[in-house]
Amino acid sequence: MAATVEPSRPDAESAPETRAATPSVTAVVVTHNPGEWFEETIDSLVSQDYPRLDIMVIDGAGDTDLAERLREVAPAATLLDASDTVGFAAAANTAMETDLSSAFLLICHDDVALAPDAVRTLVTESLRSNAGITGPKLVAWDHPEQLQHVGLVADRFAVTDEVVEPAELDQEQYDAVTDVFVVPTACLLVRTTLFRELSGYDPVITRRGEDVDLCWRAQLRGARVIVAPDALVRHREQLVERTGVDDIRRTRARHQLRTVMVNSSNPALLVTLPLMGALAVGELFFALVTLRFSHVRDVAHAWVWNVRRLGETRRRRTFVRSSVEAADADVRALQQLGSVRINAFIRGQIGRGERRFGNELVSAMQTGTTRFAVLSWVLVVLFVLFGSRQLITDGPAAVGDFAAFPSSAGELVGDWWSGWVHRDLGSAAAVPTGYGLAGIMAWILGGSPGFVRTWLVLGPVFVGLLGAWRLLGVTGSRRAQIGSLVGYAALPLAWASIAAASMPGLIGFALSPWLLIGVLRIQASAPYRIATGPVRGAIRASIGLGTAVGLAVIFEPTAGLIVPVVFGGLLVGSLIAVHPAGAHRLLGAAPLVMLVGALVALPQTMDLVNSRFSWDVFAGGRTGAASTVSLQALTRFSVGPIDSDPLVWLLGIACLVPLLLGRAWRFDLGVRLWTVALCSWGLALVASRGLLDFGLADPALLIAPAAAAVAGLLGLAVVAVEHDLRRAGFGWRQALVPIALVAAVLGSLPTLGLVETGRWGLARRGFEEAMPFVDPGVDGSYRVVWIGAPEVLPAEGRPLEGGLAWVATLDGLPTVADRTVAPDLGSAGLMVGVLDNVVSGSTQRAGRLLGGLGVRYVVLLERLAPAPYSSDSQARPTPDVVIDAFGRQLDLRQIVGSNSATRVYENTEWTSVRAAAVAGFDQGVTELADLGVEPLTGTVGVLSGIGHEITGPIPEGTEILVSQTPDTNWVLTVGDEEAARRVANGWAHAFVPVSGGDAQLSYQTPFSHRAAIMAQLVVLVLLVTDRLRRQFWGAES
Amino acid sequence: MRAMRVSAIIVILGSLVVGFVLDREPRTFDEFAAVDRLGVPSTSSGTWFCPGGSGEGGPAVVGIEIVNAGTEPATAEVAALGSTAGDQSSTQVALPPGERVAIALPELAPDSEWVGAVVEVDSSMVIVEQSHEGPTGTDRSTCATRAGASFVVTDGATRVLSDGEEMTLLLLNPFQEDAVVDISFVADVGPDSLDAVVVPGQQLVAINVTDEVTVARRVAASLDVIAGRLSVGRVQTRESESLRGLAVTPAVVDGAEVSVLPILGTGQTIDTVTVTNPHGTEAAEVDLEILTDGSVSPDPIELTVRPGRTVRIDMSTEDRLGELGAFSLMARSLNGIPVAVMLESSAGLATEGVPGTAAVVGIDGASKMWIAPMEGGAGSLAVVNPSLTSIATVEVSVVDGEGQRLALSLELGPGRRTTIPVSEIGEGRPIVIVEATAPVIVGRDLTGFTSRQLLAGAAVGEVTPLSRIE
Repeated sequence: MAATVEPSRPDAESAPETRAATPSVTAVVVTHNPGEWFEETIDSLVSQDYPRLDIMVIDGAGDTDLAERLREVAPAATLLDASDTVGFAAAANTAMETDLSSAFLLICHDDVALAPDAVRTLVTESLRSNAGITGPKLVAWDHPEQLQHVGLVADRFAVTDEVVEPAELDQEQYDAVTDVFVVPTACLLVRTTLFRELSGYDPVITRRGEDVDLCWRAQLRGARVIVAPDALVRHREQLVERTGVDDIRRTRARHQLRTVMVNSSNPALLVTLPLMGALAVGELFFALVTLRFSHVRDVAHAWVWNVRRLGETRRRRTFVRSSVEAADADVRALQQLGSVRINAFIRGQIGRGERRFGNELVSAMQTGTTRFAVLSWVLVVLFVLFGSRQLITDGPAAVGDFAAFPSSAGELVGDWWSGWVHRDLGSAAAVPTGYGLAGIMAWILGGSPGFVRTWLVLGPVFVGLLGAWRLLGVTGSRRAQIGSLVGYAALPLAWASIAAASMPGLIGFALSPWLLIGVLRIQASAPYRIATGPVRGAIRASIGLGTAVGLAVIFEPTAGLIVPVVFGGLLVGSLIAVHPAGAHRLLGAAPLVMLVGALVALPQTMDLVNSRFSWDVFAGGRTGAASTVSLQALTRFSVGPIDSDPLVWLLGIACLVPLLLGRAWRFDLGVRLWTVALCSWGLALVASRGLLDFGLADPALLIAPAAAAVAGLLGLAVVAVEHDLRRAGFGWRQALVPIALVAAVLGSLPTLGLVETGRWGLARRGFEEAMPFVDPGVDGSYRVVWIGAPEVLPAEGRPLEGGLAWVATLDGLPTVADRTVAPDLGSAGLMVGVLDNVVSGSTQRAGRLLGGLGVRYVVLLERLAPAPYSSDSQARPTPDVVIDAFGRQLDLRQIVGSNSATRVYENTEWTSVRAAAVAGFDQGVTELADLGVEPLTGTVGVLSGIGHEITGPIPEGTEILVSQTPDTNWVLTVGDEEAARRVANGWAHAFVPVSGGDAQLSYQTPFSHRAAIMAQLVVLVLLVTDRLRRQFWGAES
Repeated sequence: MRAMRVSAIIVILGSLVVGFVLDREPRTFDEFAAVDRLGVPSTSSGTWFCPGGSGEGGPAVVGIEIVNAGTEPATAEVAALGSTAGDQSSTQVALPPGERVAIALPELAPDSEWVGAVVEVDSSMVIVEQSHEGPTGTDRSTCATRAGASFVVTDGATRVLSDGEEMTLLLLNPFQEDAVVDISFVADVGPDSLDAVVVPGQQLVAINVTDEVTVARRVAASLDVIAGRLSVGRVQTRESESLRGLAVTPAVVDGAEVSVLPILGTGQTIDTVTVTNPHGTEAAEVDLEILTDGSVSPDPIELTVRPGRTVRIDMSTEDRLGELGAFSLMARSLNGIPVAVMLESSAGLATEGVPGTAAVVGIDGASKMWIAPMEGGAGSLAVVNPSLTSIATVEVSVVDGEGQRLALSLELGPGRRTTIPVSEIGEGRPIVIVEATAPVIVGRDLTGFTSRQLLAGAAVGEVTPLSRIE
C-alpha cells in the first residue's frame, strides 16, 4: 500500500487559537472510479469552514488518474491505494493503518457534497450529544429539496427501513437531532477511538449492510448514533450504475444474516435465527411460485455463504460480544419492532412505493435493462433456431467432422468403452469420452442418434453464446452483456464452422468465452477481482478453467491449443497496458489448468503420454505447410465455405471504443482483449503462411479466441460509453458513439444474410449415397483410404505432403468413433510409406501394397460434400501429381461415374481385412514391400463387420489374416479354444486355429483403459457438481 | 493516461497493419515434387511397358528380352496383353545375374494378331527390351517405363502399293480401366483424324495407319489420350526394290525442350531427322546442335517448326557434315516449345553397308548410370556429355555371370561425344554398364551382319531432364 502523506490544509490555520480549541477531523473519502462529480466532492471538503480538517482519499479501484484529479483540487490531500481490497468497508478500514491522530473521522463516499458548515455542525452536535456516530441529512444530489436519508431504522433481522418517504420534500420536518439505529455510510462522523475499538467496518461485508453492522456494534459499546439534520449533504447514490455490479438482493441478504449472527445476544439469536430461517423459506417458496429462480439462488446463497464462514463468524462474534457495554435490551429497544420486510411487503402490496420489497417480486421484468436483456436473448435464440431450421428438421449431413453415428447408439458406447479404434490401421486408443456420453444420451433417447447429432452441432453454439453473455457479467452492466452476446452471434465464426462442418471451430466457439472468463479471473485484475482473495480465487478459477478445457477436449482433442493463446494474449496485454498485476498468477495457474484439464480427459491424456505426445493429435492433418487462408479472411472470420462480407470489419470500429473512451479497468481490459485477438489471429496467420515446422489444427479453432475477444470488446464498448463518455468533455468522443453503433449494425448484416439456407450453408447430403462401396458382407471387410485437403476429409486426417491428409476407415464411411486422430499411430506408418511411394512414382503396384493393408478403395476427395450439394467454388482440387500417380497404378481401377467431388479407385488386388488363407500364404514376405512382387492370392474374406466382438464361420485348415495393427489383446477363439498367432506379411497378425467352425474375434479391453474412464467420470462429476454448487449457491466474485 | 492510451492504440493497430503488410508477401506452398515426365526409360520404376508387335506370321513378330545387369538374381513377371479380348496370360521368370532371358510373346497370347506386354521386375538393374522380326527385317527397341497421355509419332509412310510402306500404331493399355484416345494425322496428302478410339483395359489395339491415311509419303501422328493412359509404339515396314526394312520405335511422350540423337553420320546410311511441333498454336524455334568428338564445332541447323507440323531434314544433304564422321545431334527448342525428334537411318539394298532401316527417338534425359546390352559385330556405343560446363569421367564395364568388370574409362569434355566400338568393350553380346561422374547420354548402334538397330540405353537411378542441364 503506497501512501503519499502531505501536510494538511494550510488555509485553515489562520486562527491558531481556534485550532487549539477544536478537535481535529480527518475526512476519509473512499473512491471507486469516481465520475466527474469527484472534484465537487473534494471541493466541498476543501471549502469547509471547519479549521482542523484533513482529507484522506482512499482509492478502492486502482484508478490511474485519481492522483492527478485530486492534486488539482486538493493538493494537500492524502491518497491511499487500497485497490487490493474488495468493497467499501475494507477500503475504509485502511485508514486505520495510517498514523491517525485526529479525534473524528468523517467517512464519506466519493459521491457526496457537503454544505460548507456540515463538518462543523456534525462535530458540534457530536460533542454536544456525546454521540459516537453522527450522521447528516442526506438529500438528492440533483434535487437538494428532496430528502434521501435522515438516518435509518432497523429491525432485529438487520433489515433497514427509511425514516423518510421516497422523494419526500425537505420541509425541515426532520430537522431535530434524533437518535437513529443506523446512519448510512454515505457520510458519517465517527469518533476515531470508537472506530478503532470497533476495528472499523466488518471487512467481509463488501457492500450493503456495513453501516448497520457498524452502528449496531457502536451501540453495543454504549455509543449513541444520532442524526444532525442541520448538517446537509447531497448524495448521488448510484452504486449499481457505477460499479456495474447489480447484486443488491444477494449481498443484502447475506450481510443481514451475518450482522445478526455477529451482533445479536445469545438469547436473541436463538429466536432471531429460526425466524430468519422461516422468513427465508417463505421467501424461497414465493420466489419459486413466481418462477424467479435468481431470487431463489440469492436467498439460498445467503445461508450457504454464512454457513461456510461459521468459524470466522464465531470468532468475530466472540470479539464483539466480549466488548459489549450496553444492555441488549437497550439496544433492542432502539430497533424497530416486528419485521421491516413484512411491513414493507404489505405496504408494497397495497400500492405504496414502487421501490418496496413487495414489488421487487414482480419488478424484474419492469426494469428496462432486464427487459432488454430478455428480449435480446429471445432474438438471438430465435436467430439461431431460425437459421438452423433445416439442421433441426433434417439433421446435419454426415460431412467433414459431422460424421454419422454408428448404426446403433450401443455400438458407439461399445467403441468408447472398448479402447480400440478401427480408423487408419487400428490402434489401442480411446474414443473421446464426449462421443461416448453422446452415445449414452442417444441410447437414453431411444437409440435414435439424430437428435443428439443435431445438438452436438448446435449445443456448442449456445454454450459459446452463454459464455459471451457471462464474459462481462462481472461488470453488472446488462447492456454490456447484451453487446457481447449479440456481437458473438453476429460474428461469422460459428456459422462458418457449421458450413465447413468443423467441430474444432464449433468447440473453439463454445470454449473461448469461458476461457477468457477463467483466465481473467485467475489474473484477478479489475473488474475480475475475487472476494476470496487472489490466490484462493486463482486456484478456484484454475480448477474451473481446467474443467472447461477438459470438457472441450473430450469432444475435440485439439481444443487445448487455444489455451496458451488466451494466456499469452492476456499476458502481453497486461504488459502493454502497463498493468502487469496478476501476470505471475497466470504463469502459476497454467500448470494447474493443464493438470485439471488432463484429469478431465484422462483416457486421452494417457493415450497422449503413451504415444510420447504425438503431435498428430493437434495437427488436424496439417504439416505446417502454407495454406491459402489470408489474414483478411481470418479477421473476417471467414474460414470455410462462407466468404463473409468485408462489412464484418466494421465491427472493428466498435471494438476500438474501449481504447478510445475507456478509462481505468475499461481501458485495461480493452487492451487485454485486443491482444488476445491479435495473438489468436497471429497464430492462425503464422500457421497459414507455413512459418511453423509443425501442423496446427483448423484455423477456425485458432481464431476462436479472437472471436470471443471481439465479442468482449463490443460489450466493453457499451461499458465505456456508460461510464466514461459522460466524464469526457463535448467533442469527437460523442461523435464516436453513433459511428460505432452504425458500424456495429452494418458489420452484423452479413451474418443476418446467412439464415437464408436454414442450415448455415452446410451441405444438404453427405457421401453415404454417393459412394460405390460394396457391402462388406459380400466379400469381407475392407478399408477405404480417403485422401484430400484436411478441410474436406470426412474425419481428422493424418498429414501427407502437398497440403493433403489421409484417413483410412473400415467398411466405408467413417463414424464419430473414427473422427479424431488417435495419438497412437499403430501401424499407420505403413500406409504413409505406401502413399509416399505412390505419389513419388516409386511404385505402379500400389494395389498390391494397399491390398496387404486391407484397402479396397482409394478415394481422392475434392469437396466437403458430393455434387450437387457442393459447388466447384468450394473445391480443394487434388494436385495433378497425385491424380497422375494414382492413375499410373496397374492394379487400381478408377470407378467411372463416381461423384464429381471424388475420384474413386477400386483395388483389384485387395485382400479382406480379415481373410482366411492357406497355411503359409505369406511365405517369402518379410515386409510389406515384398507384396509388390509376391501378391497375396487365394484369400477369402471372413469375420466381416465392425466391432470388438466379431463372430462368424471360418474354413477348416486355414489361417486367419487380420490386417490391422498387431495387438495381443485381440484374440481369436474357435469353440473354446484360443488360436495361436504369428506375424504375417511382415507386420500383421495371422491366427492359426486348430480347426474351422464358428469363431469369435474379440478385443480384450485392458483394465487400465476402463479404470481411466471410470476415474475420468468420477473427476468429471466431482468438478461439475462443485462448479454447479458454487454457481448457484456460492458465487463470490 | 493519454500517453498510455496512444501507445496501446499504436501497438495494437500497428500490429494489425504489419500483419496485413506481411501477409501480402507471396506464400510458398508445399507442393508435390513434380515427377519428370521423361521418355527415356529408367530402371527405377520396376514396371516396363512394351507396346509390342505382331503375333506369329505378322509383319513384326515380337519377343521380349529381359536383361539382368545386376550381380544378384532377380525375378520378372511378364503379362502378355493381346489385341483380342481376354487373350492374356502371365508368366514369372527367374533372371540370373548377368544373363538375358528371351520370351516369345505370341506364345503367351496365341489368339491375338498383335501382342504387347507389361513386365514387372524386382531389381533396378534389370531392363526390358523388345525385338521384332518380320519379312522386311528385324528391329529392336527399349520398352517404356511410363505410360503417357500425349504422344507424337513424327514420321511414317503408307505407300503400300508403290513402295511397300505400311505403318501401324500399337496402343497398349496396361491399366484396369478403358482408355480413350483421339488421333490426328498430318500427312503430305492432307490431315485426317480418328476420334474416341477405345482401348480396352489390359488390351492392345493396333491402328493400321495405312488404311486411314493412304498413299502418304510422310505421315505424322499426334495422340491425345482423353481418358486413361497408354504406351504407344510405331511399326513401319518398307519393302521396295531399293529399300527394305522394319523399324519399330516408341512414340515420343509429350515432347521435350531438349533431346539428343546420339548416333548419326556413321556412313553408308541416309539419316533423316524429323522434328514435330505438337503445340497447337505456337511455332517452335529449334536449333539442331551438332556434337562431335571435339575436333570441330559446326554451326547448328536452325529450324522453325510451325504448330502441328513436322520438319524433315535429310542429313546427307548437309555437305558440311560429310567429313565429320559420327556425331550426335542435340535438338534444343529456343522458345521452350517442346518438340518431338526422331532419327530414321536407312541403307538401300544397293549400298555397301548393312541394308535396312533403323529408327530411334530423341533421348530427353541424362543419367550417371546406364545399362546398354550390346550385340556383337560392328556395333558401337555412343556416349554424349550434354553439359556445356562439366567434364564427365566415364567408366564402361561389362557384366556377366561372374560379375562386373571394368572395360575402359575415358573423359568427355563439355558438349562432347564419343563412339566406342563394341569390340573394344567385350566379346560376344556383352551387357554393358556405363557409369559417369556427370549425367551423360548413352546410345547404341547395334549393327550386325544382316541388320542394324539404333536405340538408347536404359538409365539407372536419377534421370535429369536435359533442359535442366547447363
